[in-house]
Amino acid sequence: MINLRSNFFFKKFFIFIVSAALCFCGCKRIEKSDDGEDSTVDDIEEVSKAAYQRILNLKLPLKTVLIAEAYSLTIPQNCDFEVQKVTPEEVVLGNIDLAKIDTAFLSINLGGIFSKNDGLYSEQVYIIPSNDPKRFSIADLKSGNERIDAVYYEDENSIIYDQGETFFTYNIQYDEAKKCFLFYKAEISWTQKYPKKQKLELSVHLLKHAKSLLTTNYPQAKFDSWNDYVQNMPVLEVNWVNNMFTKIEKELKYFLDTNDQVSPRTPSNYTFVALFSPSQETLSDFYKSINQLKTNQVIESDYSSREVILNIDSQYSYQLREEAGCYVVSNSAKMRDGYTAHTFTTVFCPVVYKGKTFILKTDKELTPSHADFFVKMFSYFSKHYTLKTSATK
Amino acid sequence: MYKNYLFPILFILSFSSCNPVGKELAVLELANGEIVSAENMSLKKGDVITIWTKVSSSSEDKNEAFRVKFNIENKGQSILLDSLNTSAEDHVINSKTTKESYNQSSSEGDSTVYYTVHEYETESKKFTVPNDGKYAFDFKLIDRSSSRSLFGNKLAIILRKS
Repeated sequence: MINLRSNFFFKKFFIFIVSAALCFCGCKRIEKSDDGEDSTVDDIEEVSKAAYQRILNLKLPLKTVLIAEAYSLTIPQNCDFEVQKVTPEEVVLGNIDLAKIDTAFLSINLGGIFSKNDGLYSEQVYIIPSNDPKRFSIADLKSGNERIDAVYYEDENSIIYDQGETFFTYNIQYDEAKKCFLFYKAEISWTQKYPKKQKLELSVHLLKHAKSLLTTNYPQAKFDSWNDYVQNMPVLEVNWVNNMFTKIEKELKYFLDTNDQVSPRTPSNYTFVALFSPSQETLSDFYKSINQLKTNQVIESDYSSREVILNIDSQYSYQLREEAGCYVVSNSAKMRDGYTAHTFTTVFCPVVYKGKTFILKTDKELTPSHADFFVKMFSYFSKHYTLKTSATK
Repeated sequence: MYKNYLFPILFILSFSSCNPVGKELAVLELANGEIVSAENMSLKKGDVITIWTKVSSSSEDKNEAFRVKFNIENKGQSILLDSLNTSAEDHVINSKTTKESYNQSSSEGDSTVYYTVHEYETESKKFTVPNDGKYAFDFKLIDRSSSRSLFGNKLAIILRKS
């Protein structure tokens, strides 16, 4: 009797053990297999002299512009600028006490391709008149209660630091001839989620802009190709453009239907460039418009029922330039009262892929200074169907 | 007496404790006209990747015409380019229907409009990995419905490995 009972319990126990083992072994162990994350250490503490010098030696085409008919500033060639008057209360320059200044002063907003549309960073120059060349210094900027988390670069008249992952680049110069201070301030916001190393590299590029402001004797440089741009641009900007064009590349090769268009969204949810996969009619309309611009006979057509790549309007005057396989179309409103109107530029580039013609088009109203960047970019893409160069592959 | 039931119960338990549809690798929310991608997925030869479409559709918005194109890449080369069968009903899981409502104002006064939201996951495609390596999965939603309202379909892709 005892034997029978113990046998019964043994069997039950055995079944329990087997089933429990099945319960635990039945599932595969979940392992984190995502090893694609960037595991490189991002704990850079300062900008090395070698890195600083390397960036300072890079090519940067410049131009000199006249501000408020009084001040000459040298800025990157592919930059625009907007001038406005600001009061000291509207401006924060580190810890510098602007209350000492009792008048409004000029603020110049520099608009590059990346600062203007997508707000990757901002660049401002303030012109503050003063007879005392020692009135403001980097030491003033650092002193006081303003939080500075880490200083990555500092020299006699410049500083790069971060504050809660927002990177600031400041430069202070005194213009002896005009008796004024030039304050340069650039900011890369914490909302831009990029590796610290890349933000810092970009900050040094921006410092280079600052250090060029009063330069008068500079070589007339220009970028010869997209490769040339890539080798001289901040890594963060190169990666940003490549990420956008990875989508354009996939649209071209796999996704875009005929008679459709696409403008991939940027990380800040803007558009950057558009790709068209036009029907024969739409493509023929495009070339008709181009021919009208070539012969300078603008006749508005009724394309209302069709998709339009280049819409021309007799209210504008147009200029067409052909360069590196691209059409650069500039238009400005016809003004009768002597005012000069803003000129906007659009770059178009036919891309023939597997016998089919696509059209790349800049999606924002650019100013003429931005055009060259897109001409070189589109031209490279039309030949290689990717923007990745041998340096970035 | 209950001894006879013990083994089958435990046997069923042993299977129900697993995830029968495989391990979830990625969830991608789709946005109309945008390519969304799961990149750098390390996969082994013979792994079976099931592409599930998670649909949330509202009774307020029927007749929506959409399709999802996809592309699978390895070493920068496309190895599979196709459209997903998002209306497949052979294998549907996590299906649930909820009742929602909103208030509508008109000249005749306020009223409450009730509608149902049907959420489910449907198996849209199976892909067997041909070689060890890193793979990218790209999806693009093309929604050509003329009217898009607040109650429009929401779509997501779930990649599971079994």
